[in-house]
Amino acid sequence: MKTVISHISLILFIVHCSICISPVVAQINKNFIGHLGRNQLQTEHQYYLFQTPLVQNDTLNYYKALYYLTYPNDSLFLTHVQTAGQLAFEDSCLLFTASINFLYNWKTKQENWFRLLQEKKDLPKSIQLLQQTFKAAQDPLNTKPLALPDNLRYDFSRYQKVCAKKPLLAAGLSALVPGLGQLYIGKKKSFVFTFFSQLIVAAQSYESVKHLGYKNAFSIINLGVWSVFYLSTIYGSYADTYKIRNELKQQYLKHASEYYPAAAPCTLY
Amino acid sequence: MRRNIILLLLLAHSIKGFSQVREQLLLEKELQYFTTADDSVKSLIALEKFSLYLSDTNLQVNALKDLERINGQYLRPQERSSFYWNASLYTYLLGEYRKAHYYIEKYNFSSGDSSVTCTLLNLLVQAPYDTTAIGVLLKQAEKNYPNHPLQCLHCLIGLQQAPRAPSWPLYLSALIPGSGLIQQKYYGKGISSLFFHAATAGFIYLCLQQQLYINALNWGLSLGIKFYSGNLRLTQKAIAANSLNKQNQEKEQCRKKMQELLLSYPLNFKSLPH
Repeated sequence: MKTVISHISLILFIVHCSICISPVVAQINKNFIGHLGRNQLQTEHQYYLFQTPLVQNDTLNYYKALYYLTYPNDSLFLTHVQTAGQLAFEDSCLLFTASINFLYNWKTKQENWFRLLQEKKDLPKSIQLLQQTFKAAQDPLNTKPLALPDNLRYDFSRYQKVCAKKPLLAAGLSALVPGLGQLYIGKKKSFVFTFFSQLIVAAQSYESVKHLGYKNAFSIINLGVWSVFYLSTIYGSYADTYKIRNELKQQYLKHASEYYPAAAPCTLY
Repeated sequence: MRRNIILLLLLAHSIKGFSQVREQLLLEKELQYFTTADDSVKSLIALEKFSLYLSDTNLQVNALKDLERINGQYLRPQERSSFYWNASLYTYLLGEYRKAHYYIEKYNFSSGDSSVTCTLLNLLVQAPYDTTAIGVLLKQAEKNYPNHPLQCLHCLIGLQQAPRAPSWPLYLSALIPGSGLIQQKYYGKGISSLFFHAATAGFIYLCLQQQLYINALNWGLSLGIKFYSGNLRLTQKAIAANSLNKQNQEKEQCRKKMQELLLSYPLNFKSLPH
């Protein structure tokens, strides 16, 4: 039994040594990484970058950042871009693709990325334009539509217009004339529907009060329905202002994230 | 004691090392593929990579990329047919039926195999979308193997056809609200639908008696239309659910028959000659 155990430990020791001793630090084969990236061989790509003993330097971190851009992971991408230093910021295609991703898909770390870009100087024009696009989405009232490309101006102007509308004013207008707040934020059809619905409910409440008196249960139900409907119209106008604002912002950013890569395509590998 | 701890530590490290071997081999093969210019050698390397995926117990979607890079023309005849078989089975298991169909067609052409296992794989690959092909395959199998249990797989044809749902319970519900639901054995919903319709009609009648015309019109339109359309929609759902239930029972029976056949004629990957 003892000899069997000693044999096993000898075999395991040899395996262990072969694993421990084998790593010989190698230089990064850039062409091979390009091949792995172009063919989307994720398993091999990952093993090459993370398991193979390679020289630990900025270049490796740069390729790791590229990896996380190809197989999306926003936080790991950000970490590696920061450790890669200037090398990552010299690759305009990496910056461009990442900015597009952060603009619409990677929302949680969006601000971190554009703050990081803001700290850098001499960025390519395409990246500056993307920065401007993001800034316009964050602060639409202080941005001129003319600063943006023609194709994005229409979406941006719509978003800007809605941002200028005040939610409390919309609610106040709906309190004065039911549905007027909807008209104020640009929802014409909604105004017509709300106004006439309120009119009908008010008419039926008036009719029941006139025929049965206001103390009658049916009149109370009708008045209750009408007041709930009236209050919900006021709140609806207030909430819709924020909802439309967000919808138009997303539409503008989506359009931007589709427009820029089509206008100036670039390949990572 | 110390000796055992060292042994355990060595064992743990070695297991980790063994699990990384496949990825390392894949990377080494890929490096060979990258440095080679010869297309035939490239095909062989991709085939070796595919064999590595086959040796893994889990199916890997990444294997499809290597599959696409293998050109059957560069393989030897025996190697080629084994590859097409394996590729078809692998892609079928991954749910890539179009690709599985492509490879099984190539396999049929290159091997001329008419065994029961080959017919079974053909049937499995065709089953998701080509009912005519299933009929043809079963006819051929009848010729080669008369009275074989394979014939019970005629049920595969019926499974691909959309479930036939009768429309008359819907008309019944349109005439007498809730009656279609009762006919479909949804008694609770049918009776409550009938009750709500009757109550709405009664309410409208009372409003008219009290000369509340706007109320009658408004409540009648808002409640009546909602109940009536809801009743029709519910009936439609009940019909669809019943016919789907029936089809699922047939599916289950067919699946059992297929399972029995697969136990008798298991589909295995073929080993590639070195």
